[in-house]
Parts: sequence; structure tokens; C-alpha cells
Amino acid sequence: MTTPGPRRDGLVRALTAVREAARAQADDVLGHVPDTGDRTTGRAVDDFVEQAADALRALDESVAETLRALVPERR
Amino acid sequence: MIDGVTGDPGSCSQLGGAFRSHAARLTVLRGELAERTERLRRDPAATATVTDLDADLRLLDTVVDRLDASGSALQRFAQELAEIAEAIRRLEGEAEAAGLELDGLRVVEPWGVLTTELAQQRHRAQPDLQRQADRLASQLGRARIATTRVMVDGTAALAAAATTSRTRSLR
Repeated sequence: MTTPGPRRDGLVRALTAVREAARAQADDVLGHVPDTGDRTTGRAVDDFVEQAADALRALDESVAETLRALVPERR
Repeated sequence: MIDGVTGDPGSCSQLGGAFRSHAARLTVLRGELAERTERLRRDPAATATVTDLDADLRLLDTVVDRLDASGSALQRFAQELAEIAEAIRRLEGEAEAAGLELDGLRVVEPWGVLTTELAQQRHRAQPDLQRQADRLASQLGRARIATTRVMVDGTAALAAAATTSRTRSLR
């Protein structure tokens, strides 16, 4: 990619911010212990929490791939 | 005994708030990323990067949408749980005044010897109190079903988006 330095740096910063947020949020959602008062809703909420954490990790991985292609020396 | 029927509305509200606040933060970051992606779009040498960024943005969109929707649903649910819990407390007081008690959302007679007068008082009060309890049970059931649906839909959408993203990375 021939993106000029400053433009590339801005993009790297934006992508890095997304990675940091995704990782922190994945950890945060897993730290909650909601009590819905019944098993069915509780299980649905727990499943969503697990899946949200996984999707946030997938976002981190996806953005990491983009960064690796953008800045090969980060490998 | 009503403990447990309505769970802990505070903990549900807290999680809903966290989801919404995370969605809001990601929306801000998405805006910046989208802007930088648009600037690159006209550069033919950046086609591969733009393709990667578009994929990141698609995944971000799904995560933001589902976190926000589930956060709102959980906050609504917490509000309903709190209202129902308050109504149950009032009903418990009414039942007690009539010599009855609540077992979950069933109005029952406590054990013990009773006078004819007290037995009649209980039998007069029980049907109306049970109807009120049934209404609360229905309200609680509807709130649970609505919340569960949003959670299940969100789980499926996030799973599909994560799988698509990881499949793309393997190519």
C-alpha cells in the first residue's frame, strides 16, 4: 500500500483504538453477573454475553489482520 | 415467599447499561474509521486495504447494533422487573392482611388452626388476590419472552458475523 505516512499513521491509530476497545469490552461484559429471576431468560442473556465477547474478540482479530497488512513490520 | 421471582433488576440494568455504553464508544470509533476508509477509497493502490476496512466496518456495525439492541432490551426488562417486584410486595401486604401468603405467585393459606371467621375471610379474599397475582405472572412472562427473543436473535446475528469475519481471515 502506498498510503502517505501521516494518512497511514492516522488509520493505524484509528484501528488500534478499535482493537483496544474491543478487547476491553470483551473482558468487561464477561465480568457481569445478571440475575434475571428465571432460567430461560438467564440462559439467553448468558449466551448473548458469551457471544458478544466472542464477536468483540473476532473484531479485534479482524482489525489486527488489517493492521498487519497495513504495517507488515507489526507481524 | 417472593424472593427470586423477579431476580435482581439492578444487575440486569447494569449489564444493559454496559452494552449500550460499549455500543456508543464503538460508534464513535466506527465514525472515525469510516471517514478514513472513505478517504482511501479513491486511491487505486489501497484497494486491498479498503476491502479489509470494509469488512472490519461490517463487523463493527453488527456488534454495535446488537449491543445497543440488547442493552435497551435489558434496561427495559430491568425496569419491568422492578415494577413487578414492587407490585408483588404490595400484593404480599394485601394477602397478609387477609390471613393469606404468597408462595411465588400463588396465593396460599398458611398452615395452622383457624377460626371459621378467618377461614371465610380467606376464602372471600383469595380469588381476587390470585387474579392479581396471575396478572403479574402474565406481565412477567411477557417481559421474559420479549427479552429472551432479543437475546436469542442477537446471539445468532453475532455468531454469524464472527464466523463470516474469521472465515474471511482464513482465505
